[in-house]
Amino acid sequence: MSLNTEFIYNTFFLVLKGVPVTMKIVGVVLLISLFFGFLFAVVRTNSNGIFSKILGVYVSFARGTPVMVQIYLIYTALPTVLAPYFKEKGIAFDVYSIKGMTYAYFIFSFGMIPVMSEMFRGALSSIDKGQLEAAKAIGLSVIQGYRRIILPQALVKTLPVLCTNITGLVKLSSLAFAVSVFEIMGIAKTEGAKYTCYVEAYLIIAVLYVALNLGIEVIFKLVEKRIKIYA
Amino acid sequence: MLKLEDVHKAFGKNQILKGVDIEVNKGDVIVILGPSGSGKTTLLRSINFLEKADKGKLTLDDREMDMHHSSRKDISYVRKNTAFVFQNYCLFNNKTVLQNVTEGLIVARKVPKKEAVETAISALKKVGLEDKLDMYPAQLSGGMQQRVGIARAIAVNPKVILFDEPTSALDPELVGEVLSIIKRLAKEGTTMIVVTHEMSFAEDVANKVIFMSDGVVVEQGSPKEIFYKPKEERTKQFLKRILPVSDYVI
Repeated sequence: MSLNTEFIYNTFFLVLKGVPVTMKIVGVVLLISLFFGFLFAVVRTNSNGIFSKILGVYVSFARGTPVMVQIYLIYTALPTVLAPYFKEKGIAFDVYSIKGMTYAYFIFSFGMIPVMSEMFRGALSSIDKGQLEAAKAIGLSVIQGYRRIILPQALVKTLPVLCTNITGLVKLSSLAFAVSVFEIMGIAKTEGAKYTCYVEAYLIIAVLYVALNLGIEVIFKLVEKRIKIYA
Repeated sequence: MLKLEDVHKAFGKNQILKGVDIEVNKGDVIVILGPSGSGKTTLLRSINFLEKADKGKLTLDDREMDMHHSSRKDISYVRKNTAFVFQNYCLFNNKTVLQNVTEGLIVARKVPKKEAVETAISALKKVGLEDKLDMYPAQLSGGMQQRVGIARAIAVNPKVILFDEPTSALDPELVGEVLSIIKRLAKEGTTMIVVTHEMSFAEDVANKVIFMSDGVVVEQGSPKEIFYKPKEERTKQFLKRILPVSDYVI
């Protein structure tokens, strides 16, 4: 089998244009999932109330369904449910005008929040409870204890897992083509189809994804080295 | 100065404290003895509100508070006027030796940084660790960590220091260095309550020994009274089990 080198050369530069789109998805989803993941982890670590239980159900659901199912469910079901509802209520909002990118943010965040939440929960529960007790005993408030003593230690512990999760998110973002977003995977798929050079197209992006994730790993190694003065 | 009245505490169905009264005067060195499960540690922790008692009254100076329905202000007042030394040190792992000691001064008591550092260094000098300021807890031996724990306690100039089995987690050869520091503090007039199994320490430095068993104070008195002339059967049995018999007349 021979590879179409001209196609590889041309498509490589086309696919590179998808990198910023991929990075944008990763960046936005990361911010959303870190924020809510942390919030949910703190709630679930410290309380056992009804809200905590609801979060537990959500985590189980989001972790227990394939991402592809989540994508198709939300992408197809949401407009068909919402459109008649909005019409009935007289809300002038065209559900079909929601961009693919917005769906991507929403769906991937939906899936990543539980992952991040479990990461934080694991790290928080690995900190000896004596640390917070000692903070209280010297007169710190619970919030001060968390901010100054617990969190810095927990965050260092999350770093290796966070690295795995971010590389996972980069790979996950390749499913955005399913909601018509032209990121790395989307471009490669269309180009491959256009010239029937599927193998070449997928080879290019395989290398590209590895390169992106290697970059992330290197950054994390450096950060870990800098931060890990204690422990 | 510090008074506890009728303290009750249960964990689930397990009643740990069944009405304990204790009075501490300025300069007192009180040692609490008792078999494990007798409630010594729970009592000490509930003074500092690390455990919330089910019932009881705590008086510190002239401030009287309900130990079950305590306000945030009450808790903060008690914690800022007492200090706690933990069995497993509980130093802040992400802070250096110096930061461990200054934390309570700067953050909780709003002492200016420069003054806090001076206070902390003089506290660390007292425990002989002024040359380890920039080390992290993980780089120190257990004995050194506990000495930092003591420096952290004395730096805030508390009215009373609560020691919860300060030497129980230490290797035998490190117990001495920690005990000698606590002894010195006691001789300098620091008010303290010590939960410990170190009998010779109790005999040397305590002015009052409290024997607890099954959640109540069974007997209290001077070390001489408790060790040589115990009145209660339970005290006698406890001492018989843990003391080298020939040394004491029981």
